[in-house]
Amino acid sequence: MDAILAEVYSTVLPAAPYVIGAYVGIWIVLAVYTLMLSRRSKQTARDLDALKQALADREEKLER
Amino acid sequence: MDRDDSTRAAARPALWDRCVPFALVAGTLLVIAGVVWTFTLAPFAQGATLSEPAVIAGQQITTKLLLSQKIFYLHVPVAVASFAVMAFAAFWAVRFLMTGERRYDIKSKTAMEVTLVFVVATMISGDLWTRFEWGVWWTWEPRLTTYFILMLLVIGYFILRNAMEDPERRARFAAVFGIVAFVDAPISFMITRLVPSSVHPVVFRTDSGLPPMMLIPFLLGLFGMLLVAFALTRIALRVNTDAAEVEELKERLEEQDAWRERAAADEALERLRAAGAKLSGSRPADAPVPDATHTPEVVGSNPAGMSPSHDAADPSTSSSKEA
Amino acid sequence: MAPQPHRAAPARPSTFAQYRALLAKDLRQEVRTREMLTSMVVYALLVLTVYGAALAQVGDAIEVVAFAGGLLWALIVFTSLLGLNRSFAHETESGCLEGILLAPVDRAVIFLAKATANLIFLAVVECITVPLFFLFFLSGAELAATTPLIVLPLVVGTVGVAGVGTLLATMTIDTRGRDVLLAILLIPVIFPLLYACVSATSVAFMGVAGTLGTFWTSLAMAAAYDVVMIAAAWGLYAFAVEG
Repeated sequence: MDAILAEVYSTVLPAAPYVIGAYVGIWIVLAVYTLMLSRRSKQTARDLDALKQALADREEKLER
Repeated sequence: MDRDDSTRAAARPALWDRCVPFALVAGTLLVIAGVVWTFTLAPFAQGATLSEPAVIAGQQITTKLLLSQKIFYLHVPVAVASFAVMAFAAFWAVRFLMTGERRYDIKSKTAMEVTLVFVVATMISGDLWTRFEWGVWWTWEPRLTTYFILMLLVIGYFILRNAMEDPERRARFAAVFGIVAFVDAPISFMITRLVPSSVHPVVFRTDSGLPPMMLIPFLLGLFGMLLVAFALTRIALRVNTDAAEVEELKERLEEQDAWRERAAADEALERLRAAGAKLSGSRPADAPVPDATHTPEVVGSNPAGMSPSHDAADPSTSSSKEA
Repeated sequence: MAPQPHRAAPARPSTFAQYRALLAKDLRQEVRTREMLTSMVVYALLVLTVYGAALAQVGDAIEVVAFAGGLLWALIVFTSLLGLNRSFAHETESGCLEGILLAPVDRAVIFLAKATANLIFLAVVECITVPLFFLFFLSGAELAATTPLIVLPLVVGTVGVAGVGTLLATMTIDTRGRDVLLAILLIPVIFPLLYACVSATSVAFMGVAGTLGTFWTSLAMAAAYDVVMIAAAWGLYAFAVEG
């Protein structure tokens, strides 16, 4: 490569890992949070089902 | 009145919730568009001067061209988004203090969660930028310092919530601190910038006046991130509201259990007394029968198991054993 | 017994009278026991001792004056944390705060009274420890002519710490891990003030010609912080004490 051009772009390669790291980092953080939310949501749905089941059982017992 | 409010309140979020998938998709697309533009069409920012000018694509270039500045296209939108979400957190905190409705507390806490997520994203990208630009992993420059403090404030918010047991006080104090943190953040931002550092001056680049080729990807990233933040907040809000309902249901079930056990215990006590009165016949009760209604703590064992095992001829001692 | 002439109910004491009464109660309490002031002064001395160990290897090579401002403010922050905790611990132990809340006193007045009391305690402790700081660390140093100016950031900073600290301490006293929680909440909130005050104090210590503009800028920033944050604390205080 032309020497001057090499100098012009001299910071690009060293910077690349950091730039990539920054973008990837942001996406990782957002993705992790989304995963946490989905896990919490599944947990809550499971709990809700269990509770509804328990309530139904109790109602049955009362009627009997 | 509470039920009216909640049904009315439930109608409005349904409208917002319908926007969520659209917002999430649109936001992600905008961000991706912004990122692609950043790396293809946006010109490089200028760095240190060259030893001699070069000619690239017919233009004279006198400085080095930086790749690292491109971090800014996503770093600043994330930072702005974090602050925007925090504004909502503070707004809902104020509403909570004004009305005392629990849903505002849930909204405020959820917004704080999302703020934390975006602040962490800001810190990571900012730190990587600093590492490249200045060669150090940390420096007490205004941007990093402000965001570090903001992060500490939001973490402090959650530590405060965890330390409080009474839910009403927890919500109230969290709201107060949320507002304090939100007022403190811009002050921190301004003071770290405006107070000149007498020891070593801090040089920071102010990207004022972006040319259109650079402005557009920035705006794409900005609006994209704001939409993503909005979508995440609403999703998180639904999850948290559901979780709160689950807690409430659990509590109610436990209450029901406690009630039923107490009722059964009272019944058993009555039967014992009746049996004892029958047996002792004309013998006057020499010991006062303790009040059976003030022993909820005793209930925990199977109430049905109490009657057969106790000596029915001695009601006062058996009931004092229970008391 | 002859019917008593109907006496009008005694007028509610004016806001200022309430404020004065509450303030007097706190001050009298402290003057009687001197417990909190003593522990604060002793604590400050211990912090200075730690500084002594920290700077022992430095010798004369480094100008301590350069970072004396920072050291001094770190000392004030740590001592304030202790003072705020002690000032409120007493309230919870004796149920004093609840008693006051039963009376029809405006919550803002309670805030002002408590904040003023804390400010006075902090000021007294600073009057003792700042000269000690000079004694221990600045004995041999050449002090700039502008050194007396440090009084200004000290005042502005202490006012801010007392105001914001009072609000936060009121919330944290009843929680688990109360002392640590106050530190976790107070230090980030107080950071901008700390930053500005350290800057102003450092400039005053160094006394480099031409930097006085920095001094006044920093002081103005600190004052702006005080105005905004104390107004916020004042407005929010009612929510921090309601039962």
